[in-house]
Amino acid sequence: MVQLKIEDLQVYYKTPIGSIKVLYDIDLEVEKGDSLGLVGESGSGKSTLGLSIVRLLPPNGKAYGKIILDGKDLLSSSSAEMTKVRGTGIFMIMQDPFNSLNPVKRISDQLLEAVEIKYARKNEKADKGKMYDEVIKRLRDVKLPDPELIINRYPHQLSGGQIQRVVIAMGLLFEPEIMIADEPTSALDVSVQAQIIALIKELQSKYNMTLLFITHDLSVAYAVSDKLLILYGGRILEYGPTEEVINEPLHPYTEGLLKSFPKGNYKEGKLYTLKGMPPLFTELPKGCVFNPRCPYAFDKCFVDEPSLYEVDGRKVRCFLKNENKQ
Amino acid sequence: MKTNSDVPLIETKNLTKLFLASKYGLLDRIFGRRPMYVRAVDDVNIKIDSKKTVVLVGESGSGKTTLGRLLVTLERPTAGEIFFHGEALSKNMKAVREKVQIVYQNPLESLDPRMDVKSIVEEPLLQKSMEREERLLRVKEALESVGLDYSYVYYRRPKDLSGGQRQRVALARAIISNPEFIVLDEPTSALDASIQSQVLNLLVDLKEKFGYTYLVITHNMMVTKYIADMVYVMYAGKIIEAGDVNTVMKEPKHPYTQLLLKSIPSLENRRLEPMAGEPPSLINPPPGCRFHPRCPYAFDRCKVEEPKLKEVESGHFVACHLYDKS
Repeated sequence: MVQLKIEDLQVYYKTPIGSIKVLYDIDLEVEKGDSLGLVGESGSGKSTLGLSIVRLLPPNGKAYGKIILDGKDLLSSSSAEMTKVRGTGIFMIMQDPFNSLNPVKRISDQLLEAVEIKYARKNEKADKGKMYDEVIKRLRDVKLPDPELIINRYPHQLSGGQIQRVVIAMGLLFEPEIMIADEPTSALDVSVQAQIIALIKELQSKYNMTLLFITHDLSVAYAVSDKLLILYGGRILEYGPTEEVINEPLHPYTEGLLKSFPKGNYKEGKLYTLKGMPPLFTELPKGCVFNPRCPYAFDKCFVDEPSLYEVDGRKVRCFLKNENKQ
Repeated sequence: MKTNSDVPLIETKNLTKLFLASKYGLLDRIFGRRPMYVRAVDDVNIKIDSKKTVVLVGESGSGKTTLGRLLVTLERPTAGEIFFHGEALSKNMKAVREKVQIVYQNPLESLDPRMDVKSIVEEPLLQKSMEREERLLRVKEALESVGLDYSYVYYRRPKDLSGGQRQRVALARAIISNPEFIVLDEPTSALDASIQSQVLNLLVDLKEKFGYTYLVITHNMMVTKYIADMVYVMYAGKIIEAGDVNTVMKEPKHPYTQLLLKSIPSLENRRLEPMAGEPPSLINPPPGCRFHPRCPYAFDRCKVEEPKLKEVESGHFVACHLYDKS
């Protein structure tokens, strides 16, 4: 069942030097229970895509197209309707754990507020004791030790890993249809990062939650998600099941990126490198966005932009793969 | 200075660095409260051979950056001594300072935003009595060595450059004074995935061309495997495992190193096994072995007696009671 459908999404940011387009022709279908990794380098538009879905773009951002959640277009909804979608419909975990909770409210108040909102939206009544028990249960779900003690603390008394667990518990309390996690582990320690990734993955399958996991780290996305979406220069370059994308990348960018990961020691030889650097939105090349760095680029790549072709049930934006099929 | 090949370039003896955990004020003195210290680096003995790359692996807060700063004289040790070419550093600080350099993780923070690239790279030479002509020639050479287009970057400021270019500028500033020893603190973690391999190749090239000795501080295992000759694993201010890169990364002995390697996402390891708990406080480190609260193999002795770093195989050192038969 298709739960979230994005059709022809275009996102612009208004800047002093004019309007800059940052997302181009995003078409995407996410099924219920999918775990999708959105992978891209800085400036690829991955966070903008996440923010467009929850309609939290900065004031100078504008999205066109359709984002359909359960038959309702979010982009044409009023902001009052959108407020009701946030939390129970789509819950977003932000990158920096220390900015995502209110510093002057106790953890208990913030989590109880989430439960109250959930019941208010369902038009159900629930007493304080029941809600408290629910909060404690979710804190156990996210494996916080001594939830009864931690609940009375303020955010600054917790570590980054603990706060991120509280935020995930808040997400679970809302029982959202879709959870978007924007780099939830990049501010955390390596050993804590693994704990949070394992936790998100476990809860995702336990509650059959739809997960959009935004990251710049291909190896983190590999550990978390079942499907991968590779973004570059504001476009989807490749989309497919994780194992297939990692083991048999279709797009030259994905292939180059995977080849450039260090495997052995320097004594065994030089690393493969992608020449050049990721493009700036103000200076996107003509034709395919990847053409300046692509080892296989030919005449057509510098003139026309490839569309997202379907190849063996996967999707790739590259002329090479399309011509192989014809 | 002697250049005896048997003497390691850098050696530390019982190196210790304590920081005051909070301000120790007048009231604390009047009431006779004992000052609290953070034991950032605690009784560390390491050896770094000339022209080798040593990687220091550990979580944030394990003291690895403090150790790096001690070795380049940016911190004064609380106790212990550092030997440079076999001579105590405290006796000839000025001569050593000309031979050591450090490159930080985030070049946007470590480069002065108001200076152009030429002034940034030239600055270390202003300390020496050198003709302007020669200085500018050296700047040009340094920029070319790190693979920058000299005419493009010369009068630009850091904000006009990409992340990879900025890190190259930081490297050029480090190598212009012909150092012997360079500390690289997370040199690639602020960079995009497709740029990371370019910088790693550059580091290897520079080392082979100019014979530098590196201390690389990182928590990225793929980078460690690629760039290291030797690896030191640090946990809560202590070195807990040391040895040749192939031995430590392929057959880790200390339970912490084993768990760390299993818990870090990589393209070879999709199934993460996160380790329990969080890094300990360095103000009141756990008694006995500092890893025992998180260690699955801990037994009674670990809670009381601190293990010493011992050679368990030729060239492979571990601080763990499991390998200590005495």
